[in-house]
Amino acid sequence: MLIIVLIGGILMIAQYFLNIPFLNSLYKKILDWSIVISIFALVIAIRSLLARQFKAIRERTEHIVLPLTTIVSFSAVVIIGLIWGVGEGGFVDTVYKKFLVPMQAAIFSLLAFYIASASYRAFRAKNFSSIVLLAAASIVIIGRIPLGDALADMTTVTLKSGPFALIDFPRWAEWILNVPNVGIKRAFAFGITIGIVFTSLKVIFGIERGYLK
Amino acid sequence: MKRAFRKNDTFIPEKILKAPAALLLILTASSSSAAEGAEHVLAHTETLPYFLMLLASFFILQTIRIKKIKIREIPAVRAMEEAVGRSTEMGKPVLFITGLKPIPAVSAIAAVNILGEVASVCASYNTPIVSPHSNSFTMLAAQEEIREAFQKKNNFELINSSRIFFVTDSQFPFAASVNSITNELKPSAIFYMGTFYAESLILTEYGQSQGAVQIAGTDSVAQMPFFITSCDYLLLGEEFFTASAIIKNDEKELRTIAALDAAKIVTMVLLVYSFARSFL
Repeated sequence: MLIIVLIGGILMIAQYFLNIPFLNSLYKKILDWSIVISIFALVIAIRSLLARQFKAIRERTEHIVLPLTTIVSFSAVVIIGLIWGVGEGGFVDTVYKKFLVPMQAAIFSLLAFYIASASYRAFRAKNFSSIVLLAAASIVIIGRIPLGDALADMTTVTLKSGPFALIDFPRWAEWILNVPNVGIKRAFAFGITIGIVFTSLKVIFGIERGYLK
Repeated sequence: MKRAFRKNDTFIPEKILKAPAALLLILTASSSSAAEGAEHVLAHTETLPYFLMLLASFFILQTIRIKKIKIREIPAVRAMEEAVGRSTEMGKPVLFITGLKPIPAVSAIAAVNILGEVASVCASYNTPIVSPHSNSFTMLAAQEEIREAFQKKNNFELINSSRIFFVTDSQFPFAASVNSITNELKPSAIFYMGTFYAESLILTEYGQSQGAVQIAGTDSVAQMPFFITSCDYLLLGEEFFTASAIIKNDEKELRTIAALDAAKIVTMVLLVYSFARSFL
């Protein structure tokens, strides 16, 4: 197994840096194979999901309605899909668009409230760092709403070099986002990228074997 | 006498590693000029020297003798055992989420490694671990990792694969299911390890509202502010990839961390050099 990983890893690195048609076609074939294998893995996933739901029903847990709903909706979609197909405009497509998409949007919409509660906690001025965070966040928030533009318009004076806003939240917000923010993000990105490369090398050269279990 | 192949051995013996290390040093030095004349054979020539430099630092730090590698203390790593201990005291399970990217992704491999270490602590403390997954590959690896951790500690009672299960591969249904599990089990420690997207704050804020100690580790730079806000501890950047090595305290793995640091120093020097060169 380790030899397969070693050869496969070296070939994948080689196909990225070498313009050899054989390696490029091999890379595409391996990608296709990974899709085929993942379809087989889906069977294991479904087995795991259903086994857990049936176990919950057998044990008559407090929230028995949840596993029942999962099994009924899973079976219904599979049966309907097998009988009427899964094409555009079909019943399964309608179920997806009318049920699943709105429900996903509902969960996503919770994010707005969670952002508000997280911001409230993060912006409490407890120490110097949190005061800096609060000040930076306030500048960015004001710079991104019409109030920032209005303040900039009201305090604009004309200099020899042109118009200059004394209280210019949009420009300050832009600076915070493009200079310190991007700098710190790039520092993390460097560390993460090197970490990914080294973990990959550990896998290729057999130092890391947890995934083989 | 032929030495048996031990579990902690590198697959490639050290003597063989030394040759590519030397070769890579020469290649790194010469690749910039060589790449210019061989563009019809080479692709991504702009990143090739940098990749060779990373490869060289990896090989060199694997082969040279270092007396003792000192690793600074990472609060999130230290807090892992405390979090499991808290769960044990409260009689609650530990919840471990491995993110949305499946096992071929490096972040998922790192997450499963950390899961193994957390499971080992859980096995010692006789605390159950629950892990819902969004991918079957990751689920299978996690099941094996947890089974092995509990078997090593002779704790056969809590090996139960139905606690490590697949939920869904869709982002927001996964978040909803995890929140439902959090509500049902009321875990006192939650681990979020792996790649997360917009669902990160939905998960962590709900976990926070349930009063759980939350420890996260991610390679998603965009999600780090959310984790910092909602979680008690966070493995920042490359700490996420090195956490399991630090817990294991295995020499080969620690050498990789030293190599990572060396590569970072070289990267910083290169950045300063290219910045200074832009003024010349």
